[in-house]
Amino acid sequence: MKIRHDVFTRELPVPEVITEKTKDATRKNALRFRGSVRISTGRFFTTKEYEERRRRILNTPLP
Amino acid sequence: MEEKRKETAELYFQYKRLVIACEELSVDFNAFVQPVMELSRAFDHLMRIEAVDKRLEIDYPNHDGLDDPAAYAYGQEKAAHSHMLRAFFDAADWFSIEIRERIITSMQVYPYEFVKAAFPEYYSEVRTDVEAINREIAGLREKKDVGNMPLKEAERYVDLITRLNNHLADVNNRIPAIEEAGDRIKKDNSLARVKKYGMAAIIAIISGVIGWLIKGW
Repeated sequence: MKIRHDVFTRELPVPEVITEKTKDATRKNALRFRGSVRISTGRFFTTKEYEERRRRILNTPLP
Repeated sequence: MEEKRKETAELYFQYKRLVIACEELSVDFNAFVQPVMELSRAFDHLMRIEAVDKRLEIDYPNHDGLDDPAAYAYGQEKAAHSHMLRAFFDAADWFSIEIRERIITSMQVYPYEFVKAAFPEYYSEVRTDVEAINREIAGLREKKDVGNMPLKEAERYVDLITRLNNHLADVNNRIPAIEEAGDRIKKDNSLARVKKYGMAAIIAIISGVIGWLIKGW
């Protein structure tokens, strides 16, 4: 089975940024997904959510 | 090349350890998929090496450096290693955030005097060290050349993370002692209050009696 040159050398298209759209798409395809339940049910951070949460926690002084 | 592959595998298992721990720690049970994207990219480079190594048939094999398979494979190995480092640092950052949040949630319910009585090192050592570790990990993740960092640096972060995890374990272990100290302090305070008001009441009664006696004379 020959591998196409353009497929072989091309970067794998994975999203740079995780958005709400990514979550919606994952939830819609949950039945066809066999991986992590958390991910298939949309229980993951979008890039924006993670960065905001990260900033909030790092800016909260330790008691 | 063998050395790079060994490092990539080592990094992967450090990454895996962190992700497993993070999913257990996460307060809202959310996953962070950014490092998984880095893993996918690393996997793509590793598969290219396998394809060249196993001499799979590729259209136009003389393009893009494929005419020199050894050099091509080395380039791909470096790229895979670099993505694995990014995945590791993303996971390390996530882990340090989760630990910090756990410490904040556990400790914010106790007043200073309770903690000071049962866990004085929290203020003198733990808090300062957690702040320093968080700052170091966060600063490192923001560096653009994280993918080119030597493995030695990553090893240092494994140590920092282990230290952070030990601090959380320490905090969790001291909670019963803090609660006990809190109960003791509350009890002492109420006893002191009873003594104070009791004394005031006795003085008032004695003064009243003396006043009554003087008036009676």
